[in-house]
Amino acid sequence: MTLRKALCSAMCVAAFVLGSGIGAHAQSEITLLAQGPMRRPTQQIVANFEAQTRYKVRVTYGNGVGTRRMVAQGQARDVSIITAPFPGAMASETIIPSSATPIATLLTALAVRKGAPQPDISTPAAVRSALLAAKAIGFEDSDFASSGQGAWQALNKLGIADQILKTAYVNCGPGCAGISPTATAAVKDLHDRLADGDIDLELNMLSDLIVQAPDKYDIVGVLPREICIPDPVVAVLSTHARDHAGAKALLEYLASPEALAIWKEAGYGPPE
Amino acid sequence: MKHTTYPFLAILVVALVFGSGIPARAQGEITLMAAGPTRRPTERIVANFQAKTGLTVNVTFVNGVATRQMVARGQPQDVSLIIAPFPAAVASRTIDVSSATPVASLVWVLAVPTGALAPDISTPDAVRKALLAAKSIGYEDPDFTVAGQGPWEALTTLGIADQVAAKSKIELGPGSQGIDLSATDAVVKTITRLEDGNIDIALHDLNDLIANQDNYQIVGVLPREIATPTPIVGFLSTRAKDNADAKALLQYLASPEAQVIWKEGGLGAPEKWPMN
Repeated sequence: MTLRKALCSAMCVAAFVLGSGIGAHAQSEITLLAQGPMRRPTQQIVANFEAQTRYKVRVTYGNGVGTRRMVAQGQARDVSIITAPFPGAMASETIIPSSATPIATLLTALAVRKGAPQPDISTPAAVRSALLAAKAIGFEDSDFASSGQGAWQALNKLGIADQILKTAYVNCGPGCAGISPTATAAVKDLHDRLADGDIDLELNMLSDLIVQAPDKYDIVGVLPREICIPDPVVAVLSTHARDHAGAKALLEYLASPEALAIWKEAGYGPPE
Repeated sequence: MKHTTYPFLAILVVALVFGSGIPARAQGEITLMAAGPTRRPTERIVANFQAKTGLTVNVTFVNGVATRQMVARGQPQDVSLIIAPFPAAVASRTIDVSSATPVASLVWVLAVPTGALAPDISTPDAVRKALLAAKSIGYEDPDFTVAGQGPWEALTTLGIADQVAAKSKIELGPGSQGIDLSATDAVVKTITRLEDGNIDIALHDLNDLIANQDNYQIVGVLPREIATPTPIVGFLSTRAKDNADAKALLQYLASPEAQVIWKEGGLGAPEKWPMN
């Protein structure tokens, strides 16, 4: 009787553990589309989320412009992190527009060569003077990289975009892949150009500047909002999420105060 | 005397014909990059140029965004017609910036299905009202195609991009290639939606709509304050900057004769570049 009871209990426990385990594994995997330049904070936030929940998150990284294009082309994940503007993604019917949750913003900053004098960038007029006084400036092309959006916006709002281009160096970002540096001046890394003296000033995302090559430059600061509105980074739910509750939990966690602290530390602005 | 003159003249003529013909083929072949949506007028202009000069022009057509991306990536042709904005192309050092020659522009229009009431679009405010009143609007995604640049500029300048997002039907243009219709609604063409009456308003570049203008109503050009015509600018490559034939082609593309053809093709007058 005791032995029978013990065996029965053991079988029940085994069935429960295995049963719940299998069920949990099948239901608990959430897919996330995130941006390569945001990899470090994303990994940290995802690890915290996994530690606090029963969910496992499988992350796919694309570049900033690439993620919104992927969603527009029907390749959304359960949760997708995309950078504005994203009209094609929102109208694709592959995501739930009402789920859009701002989680951070891209800030555009100005950097100078390590040790070089730092210009005043406290006002639009001061930034304009600094850019026009520079021998040459560098930034990324917004056709290829979302990191170029802020720079291009600032140059246009200041009304000096075409004027600056005569001497500027513009990098193609991910568009440079596989191209010989002799084919076009758009391949050479902007941080190297700054260090080598090709350019005096670099406009780039604060989050990229913080991690990429801080030994080559000093970050002067973020551009004034009047000429460069931070680009919203938004998380959205897929219309086809297998575990809607789990995906929603991840989406909410990406915008949680705990996550915001990690985004901020990595150089991202507060949600807009 | 007569006997010696004729063979001499014959040799001279043969030398002249072959002599001029050989360099014309070797030196006279010019490469041109142009945007696919401008194919019809480009082909007519190039044909006229070839007929007038005897030069051969090899044209590569790519989509509008690709014109500037290819130049940025180091693949300009002798003459490249690229659609603004093109910061990386200009800064690539693969084209001669001093050769910049505006040849035409993309003009932004509003169209409605055949038989629908044409809204007033004479002022930015009128366009704003028309867009907000529409049940649905269609345009292309500027991430994939230049045809989306003007509509996006208009919606953001009017400050209603987010407001109309829920009723917007967006087309990916060349970004739709190889994508199944079931994967995303963004595969359907804006022009098809317009022809089928599935959207109330389409925002588009005129040259894409003009060929089949009987299938819908082109109400008119959007006010310049909200949708500036987008410059199409010709550049010589740095390798061809001293090539007289390439220069001649570039000048011809901006000539009054070419302007008539660009205009018939639904393109606008050249826009100043650089703008500042």
